This record gives sequence, structure tokens and C-alpha cells, in this order.
Amino acid sequence: MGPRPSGAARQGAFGATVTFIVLFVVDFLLKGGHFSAFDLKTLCMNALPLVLVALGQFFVVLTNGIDLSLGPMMSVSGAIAALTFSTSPIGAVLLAMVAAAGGGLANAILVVRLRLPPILATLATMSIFQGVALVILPSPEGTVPAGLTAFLTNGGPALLPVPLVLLVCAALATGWTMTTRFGIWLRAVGGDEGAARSSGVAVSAVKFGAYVLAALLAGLGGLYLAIATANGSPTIGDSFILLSIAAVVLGRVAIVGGRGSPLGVVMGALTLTIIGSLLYFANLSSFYQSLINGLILVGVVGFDMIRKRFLLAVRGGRQ
Amino acid sequence: MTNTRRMRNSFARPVVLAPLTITGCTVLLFLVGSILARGFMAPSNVLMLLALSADLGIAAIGETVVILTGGIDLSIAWNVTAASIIFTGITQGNEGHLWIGVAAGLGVGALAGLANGLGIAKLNISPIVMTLGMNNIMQGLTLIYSQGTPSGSAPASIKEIATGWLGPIPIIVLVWIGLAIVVSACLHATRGGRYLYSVGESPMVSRLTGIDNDFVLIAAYTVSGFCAGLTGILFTGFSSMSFLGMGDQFVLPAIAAVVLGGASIYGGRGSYAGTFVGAFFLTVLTTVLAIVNISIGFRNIIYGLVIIAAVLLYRAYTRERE
Amino acid sequence: MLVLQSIEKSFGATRAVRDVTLDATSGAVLGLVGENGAGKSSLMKIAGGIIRPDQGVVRLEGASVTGLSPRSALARGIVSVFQELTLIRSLTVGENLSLLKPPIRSWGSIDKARRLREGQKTLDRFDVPVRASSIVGELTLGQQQMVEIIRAVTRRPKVLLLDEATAALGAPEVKWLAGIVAAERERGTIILFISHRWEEIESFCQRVAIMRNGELVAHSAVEDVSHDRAVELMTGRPLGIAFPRKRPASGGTALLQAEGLESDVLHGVGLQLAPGEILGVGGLVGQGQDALLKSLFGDHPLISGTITVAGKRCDLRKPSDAIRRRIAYVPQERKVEGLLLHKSIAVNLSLAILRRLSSWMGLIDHKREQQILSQSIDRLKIRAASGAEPVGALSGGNQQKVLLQKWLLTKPTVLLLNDVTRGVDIGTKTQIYDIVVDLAASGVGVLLYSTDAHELVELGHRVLVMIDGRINAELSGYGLTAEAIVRASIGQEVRDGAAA
Repeated sequence: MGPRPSGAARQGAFGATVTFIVLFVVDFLLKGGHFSAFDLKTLCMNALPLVLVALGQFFVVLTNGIDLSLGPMMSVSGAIAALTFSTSPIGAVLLAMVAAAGGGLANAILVVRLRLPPILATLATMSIFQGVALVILPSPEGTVPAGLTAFLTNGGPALLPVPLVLLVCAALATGWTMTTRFGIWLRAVGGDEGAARSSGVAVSAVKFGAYVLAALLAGLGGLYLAIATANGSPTIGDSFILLSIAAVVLGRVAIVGGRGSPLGVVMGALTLTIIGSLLYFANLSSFYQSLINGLILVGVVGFDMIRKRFLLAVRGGRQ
Repeated sequence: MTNTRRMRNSFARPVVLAPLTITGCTVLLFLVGSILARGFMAPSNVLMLLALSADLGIAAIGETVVILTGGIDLSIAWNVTAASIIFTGITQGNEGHLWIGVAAGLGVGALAGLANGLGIAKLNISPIVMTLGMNNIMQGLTLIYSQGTPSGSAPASIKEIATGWLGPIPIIVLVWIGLAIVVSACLHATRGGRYLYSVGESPMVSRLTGIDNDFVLIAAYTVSGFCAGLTGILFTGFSSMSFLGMGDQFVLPAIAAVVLGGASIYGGRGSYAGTFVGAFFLTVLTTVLAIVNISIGFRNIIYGLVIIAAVLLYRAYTRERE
Repeated sequence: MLVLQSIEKSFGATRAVRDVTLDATSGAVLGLVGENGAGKSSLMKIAGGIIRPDQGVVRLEGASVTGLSPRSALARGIVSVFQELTLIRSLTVGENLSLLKPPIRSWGSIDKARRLREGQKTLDRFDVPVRASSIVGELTLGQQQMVEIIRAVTRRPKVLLLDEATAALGAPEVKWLAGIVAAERERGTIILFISHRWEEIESFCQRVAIMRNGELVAHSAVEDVSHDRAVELMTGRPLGIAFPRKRPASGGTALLQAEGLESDVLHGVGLQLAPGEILGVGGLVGQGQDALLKSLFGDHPLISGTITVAGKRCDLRKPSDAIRRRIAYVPQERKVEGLLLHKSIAVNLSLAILRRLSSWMGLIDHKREQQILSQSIDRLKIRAASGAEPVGALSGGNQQKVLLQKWLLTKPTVLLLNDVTRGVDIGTKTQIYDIVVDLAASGVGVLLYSTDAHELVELGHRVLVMIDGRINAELSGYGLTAEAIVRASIGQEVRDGAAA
């Protein structure tokens, strides 16, 4: 019916990695052949929130769903943290994550229990979470312990900055999840939900897990954003709504579920992040950023489709 | 026998009931509004609110057509903005350049829609990805064209259409109603409309009946882009100027209006009449919330809750098993 | 013991299962037979927890198992194998086999090597010639069916429900299945077995239950029932259905000619259809008949071969190409391929002829549409509350009539029918036969694929029997008998008539 799942996932990750490497090299050259520890740290720091939220989106897309509310969820968790850090740092983190979990639960109930189409449910919760963020934090403010900010952005030895470590941890954790029973069930549900149910897979529980996991990752992303910017902002997550989907798509997880790899998603997120840096060093105005994002998104997917059709024609329609 | 009736109802109800339901909700909303503000239900106020809803309603024409095919158009935001900025950029408030400006604005929207349609139909790119990407592309192109500061303003005639009155009725309301009639006629009384519904309900049956699915899809997205362009031009008439991000306020409400109007997000079922009322309802809702003077945050929350409530309400009526 | 008591189930207007009470015990495989639409599949789905009955209870060893979810049914040991496979096509065989309980390492990851090994061991143990690393979607239908079956067996079921499990299997695989069923019977598993091939019932089962029109009409030991008696009970009349008299084909230049059709499924298929001729296509399910019909409609990609319509060579790349040449195709799955269930009868009827019904601007002539609607309803005696009723609310037979009429309205010269009497009541079947014969008499060429050998014999002037994408035999005249068709279907020598 379709290409090898692990193969396609590997292919996807391969394609995304190649894209990233190419852009990385271009960036390297544009910087005049330098790549310092500072650059490494900056890249990881900028990419980490997107990596986290994109990995969350990855889980949802695997089940054939979509979550448009992950961006605003980041704003909410960041806002809560920024406001409560001064009272208790640990409490702040806990509260932020609980809020994220709550949001994920809401999405899960709407999609799984009440069987609303994911795009509608998360469109509605997107609006709700945007509202919640604005209610909690009408304008950017809040405090974050300076030490924490410093550690999470500048900490760590030169070649192994904290942001990089966190990024790798996130990727590894997601990768590990995919090797568990939950991972194979996700792929089963996304591959053929009806067959999965008839086979005895607890489809509802799996989908529930996907939405809650996505929300937790988004919560982490929002948390990191707040700490890194030493501030809470009610709208900071908005751009991530589409970026998370773009990163997942770039990582070659088709928006039809069941296949894909976390590595591809990470590469997709890194690619999108590095474009910003590229533009800066190529002296192109940031106006080009969204244009290039859009072109890459459409181009990559379109190219993939053409490639598939070409392969199918070459094989003579043989399945 | 009861089984037949139940089955028949589960199939037929949404199309009839949904517009009625949303109309009922709108009336309720008006009652609430009249409690909060004297004269809320006065005819002149109703017409005023209709005028306020017109732009959303016109943008929602495109979204209706696209959702009927089972897809979605997330590129309205920057299609609207692009059309508007090109319109003011070319006309510079000058009446003489009106037609070129209009052609450019509509053309930009239609071309973006065409690109969407081609990508979705011919390259099999999912509508979410394609229109999302196109939204970004249009944003980029618009930013580059305007270099970050849109110039120009709307010519007088457009301003007149957007804010003027023909006797007791705002001109824009007449425009909207006129378009609504045309769209409804096309959907329900023409061959093209039938093909649209057919493709939306079952691409397989359509294909096996000899219908050109690709053409229908491309046409649908082009229409959506065109409507976005038209909305951009008319909205510029309302605000006199164009500004970055002006289209963002249309996307979510347009989709919500279509869904509130009873269309199935999976395609194949719905009508523009429902969307028309849906758009009106949402505008009245925003107005009432503004009267209550609650912060924008709470407004967003209520907005989202209303959408969920409406969809669940329809679900309770029809017990659709999708 | 598995007991189904007073089971009632309706789908919309159709009463699929009427007050059926049945029991099955371990040690005796129970066969369930009946015509298409008799209710046996629905009954089995109810037993397996896939559907909930409207009334009645299902009890396993005294405890109620009515209306359980597939998951809970599995947990209770009730395992079903249907024609619609429950394997996840994008995953490998090994992944599917161990889906619910894969081997895990201490830190939670699945032990992939062990999963592969254990999967392969299971496949080898049951003699299934498939690699555990293959992706299910890339296996043949028969192989997929085999994997589905052993997955069911490895769940150590208390109740094993097999619904047309042999449909996609060839003769050697059927023998293989017989061995598995026998082993399960020995283990004490309660087994229910649906098949439309009586030889299988005779070899697999000890007891048989016969259903007709949703009712249980007989339940006895297999040896007590002869094939003829079983057919009588299944169809409800001693001589079976009354077919219209066959009229001779008018002859003349072939309306449709195909030569050397080659695709991933078809191998060197050729045929000719003369005006007024009813050309039957038979053979076991899944031998390429579906692909053949679709390729003549532009819906199946051909690698090579030529199709000639009315003397002109043509390239049919999509259905509209074929429709333009006055070829009509009535698909097998009326709900998924043929009709828009949410739309009214009128809309469905006019869908293929809208061009004729609308002006150049596209405006539809509603009056003419209504005329056509009422004419169609009268002519075909379509039972519906009103013309505006959504087609999904009609019974299967009436839906089929709407679908057929939709294509008849296109005034085709060639009509391709893909198993159109499946799941249709007898009254509608008779109507359809009359229509087909009348159509042929008026000069239309009909290509009729059917899984019912009697239909082919009674209606067809000639019958092509397919095996593995090839035409194995062409039967006509005195050589055209149901027995000959069955023989040709399984590759046996045919006495009269031509064997390829």
C-alpha cells in the first residue's frame, strides 16, 4: 500500500538532514567560514522551542490528527511561569506543566471522547488558549531568575552548551518513545485506525496520550522560551502554530499519519531556524523569511510527491 | 419503519436544521444585546451589524466552497492583506487607477488560489500544508512589495461602497446579499455546484462518474482566492488604508462561520445560507462581547467555547457518526 | 458453548437478522451458509463483538458477551477473521503479529531482533511462506489472509470466527487452513466457519446452519444435508430463481475488443463483445475480474494491450474517456464507489447525465430532472418515501436499482456490470435480470462479472472464467454449465467447451 514505514521514515529523516546540512554549509560560508561555539549555542537556543513543540505536533500528526493549539499553549505555560517564578521556581515550573497537561487533556477529550474533527477542536482551543494567555498576562512582563536564564542559554562547556544538550535529550527521548509499545501503537493507529481498533489496540488511549504528550512538549517549549527571554509574552507562541506543522512536514512525516521519525522532525525544526540566521548573514531582509519558509514547505512536499509519482511510474504501476 | 426515518433524518437533517439553529442563536444574541444596550435590536443597528459582517461573509464564500470539497484554506489571511496592499499601492487613492487596482487585487487573490488548487489537485499536497505554505509565501511577497510599509489608500468609490448607504441600506450589505444569491444559485442550481458537492462527498464516486475532480478542486481554491482578494479590496474601503496583518482576523472566523452554518468539515454537505448566518452571528457575538467590555482575552476564550458548543449541538441533533 | 439467543439486527430499512437463535459447541465446527445478504456475516459480527445486536444476547459459557468492544471480545477469547483484514498495512508482519504484546527490553524499548525472530518462528511453525520482515501492504492478498489467520490462532482463542476466510486463498492454502482448523478443533476451540463453497463446508465442518433472508432455516449435522437440499434451503425455492429467457445475440461488428491486456494483475487478457451479447466473467474471487472490468472503463492502469471501441483503437486513461465512448460501469461497492449516500435519489440519478440536463451556462433544468426521477422510480419500482430522500436510507436492493438506472440513463452501448446482484434481495435480482436481458435485446453489449455461477449460466451467451489474471476457459453452448464454471474456476479440466 505504501512505502516502507521505517524506510520512508529513514528516507524522510535523510532528506531533512541533507537539507539542513546544505543550509548549514551555506550559513557557514556566509559567516565568512566561521562557526564558533557561540554560533552553536545560539542556533540550539533559537531552535529548541521549535524542536520541542514540533516533536509534540509529531505525535499528534502520527495519529492522523493535527493540533493548532500548541502555539498558544506555549504562551500560556510561559506566562504562568514568568508570573510565578518569583514566588517559587519549582512551583512555577510545575504549575506551567500542569496547565499544559490540562490543555492537552482538553484537546484529547474534544477529539477522542467527543469525536470532534481535530482541526475544528484545536482551532477552537487555539482561540481559547490565546485568550487564557491574554487574561493571565495582558502584556509582556514577569521575572525569571537570572541564574536560570544564564544557565539555560549560556551554560555548559563551549562545545556542549546546555541548549544543545537539551535538544539532544529531547530528540533521544522522543526516539526512545517511538521504540516502545506506545510508539508502535501510534503508528498502528495512524496507519489504519479501524484495523488497529479491530486488532485490539486501545485506540482512544493512544490518541489521548498523543494529545497530552504534545501539550507537555509544547509546555516545555513555552517554559524554555520564557526563561530564555527572561520574560513572559502572551503572543509569543502564535508563530509556532504554523512553524510546528512546517517542521513536521519538512521532517517528511506526511500529514497522513503512521510514518515518520523524530530525527526528521528535529532536522526540520533546525532547518527552519537556520533560515533566519541565513537571511541575516546574507543581508537579506527578514521580509524574505516567511517567503522562504513557505517556498521550502511547498517545495519540499511537492518535490516529494513528484518523486513518489515518478517512482511509481518507473516501477510500471507494480505494487 | 422507524429505522428508515431515523436513518433518513441522520442524513438529511444537518442541511436544513443548521441554518435554523444558528439563526435561533443569533436571535438569542440580539435579545442579550438589547438588554445590554438600548436600541440594539433597532433596524438601523441590525443593518449596521450586517454591514460589519459583510467582509467576513464575503471571505467566507471562498472558505465555504473549499470546505465543501473537503479541504480548507488557511491562506485567506495574507491573500486578503496582499490584495489590499497591492490595491492601495497601485491606486494610491486615485480614482483613475481604480480598475487596474481592482484587477490587480482580485488577480493576486485568484492567482494565489490557483496555485493552491494546482498544488492540492495535481501534486496531491494536503490542503493544510499547501495553504499554510501559500500563506507564508503571500506574506513574504507582500512584505517585499511593500517593504514593510504599505502605501496608498483606497479610492473614494470603494470607500463609498464600503461605508456608504443606498437609502436605508448600506451598499456593502446589498453587495453581500447579491453575492450570496449568486453563490447559492451556483451551488444548488448549476452543474458545477453539483460536481462540487459530489467531489466533496466522495471523490471516488465522482471520478467513476466521469467528473474531473482536479478541475473542481482547482476551481474551488481559485474562487476562494478571488473572494479573499475581493474582501481585501472592500475591507480597504472600510478602513481607508491597508496595513500589515489586516487579513489575520478573517481566517478563524471564516472557518467558524462555515462550520456554524452546518457544513461538514469533511466536505459534501452545507450551504452558503448557513455560512451567511454564521458570519452574521460571529460578528454580532464580537460586538456584544465588546459592549460587555470584557478584555480581548476573555473574548477569545468565549469565541472558542462558542464554536465547540455549536458543533456539539449539531452533533446532538444528528448523531453523525463521522 | 457459544449461544446466540433471539438476535435481531437491522441496518436502516433492512432487517438483516431476524430472531436467530443458534449455538455452537467445541469439537464440532459449525458452518454458516446462505446467499449474499442472508445475514450470516452480520450474525458473525455480532458474535465477534464487532456489531451490537438490536435485541438478543450472546453468551459464552454462560456469561454474557453481547455488545462487547472488539478489544474486550478479544480479551474474552473471541477472535474473528473477516474478509476485511485487520492487519495494519504500513507495518511489517512481525510488528503486526506482536502488536498487542511485543517483547520489551528492561528499559521499555521493543526488542526488535527478538520480535523478528519470534515472528518468523510463528510463521515457520504454521508453514506460512512469508518473511516476518515484509511489509503487509506488499504481500499478496492470499498471504495477508494467511498472516491474519495465524495471528488469530496465536491468540489462543476460545471462539474462532472465520468469515469467508478462504475467499482470497488458492487450493493449496485452503488445505493448509483445513489443517489449522482441525488442530484448533482438537484444542477444543469453538469454531464458526462461513463459506459460500459447499465443498469447504463439507470438509471443514461437522454441523451446518443455513440462513435465508435473515432467518435461520436449518441447523443440523453436515452429513444430513445434501448440497442440493442446502441450495434449496438457501434460496427458498426448489429450482432457484426464475431467470428470463435468453435471447440470441444480434451479432455484428464487435462493440468492444480487447487484446493482450497486461497490468500488475492482468496477464494477456483478450475478449470481444458483440452487440446484443451478454458476456459473462466468472472464476473465484480476486482472480482479476475486477481489474478487467475497470481496465475497460479506464480505471485500471494497463502496462500494455489494446482496447478497441466500435472499431476505433482508444486509450482509456480515466473513466470520462470511457463514458464519452458510451461505456458505462456499475461498480461492485455501491456505497463507496457508486452512490452519494447523503444525496437524494434525484441527484444520484442525474449525476452522470448532468451535461444533458443543463444549459450552456450550467443551470440545471430541474423540471426535466424531476421527470426523469419519476420515470425512473416508476420504471424500476424503486421503493422510497420520496424523491428527495437520501439514497443512504434506502434498502440495498433499491440502492442498487438507483445505481443501475444512473448508468442506464447515459444510454450506453456497452454496459460493464461488476457483481451487481451481490447483497441484493431476490425480487430486485429478478428485476435486474430482466433489465439486462432487455438491454441486450436492444443491441447493447453487456459484460457481466458475477460470483454466482447460476447467474452466469442463465444469462450469459458466453462465459469467460479467469484464474490469476488470465482467461482460463471460455464456455458456451452446451458446455456452459454451473459445474463447468466451477471446474474451470479451480483449474480443472473441462469436458465440453474450450479450456485455455
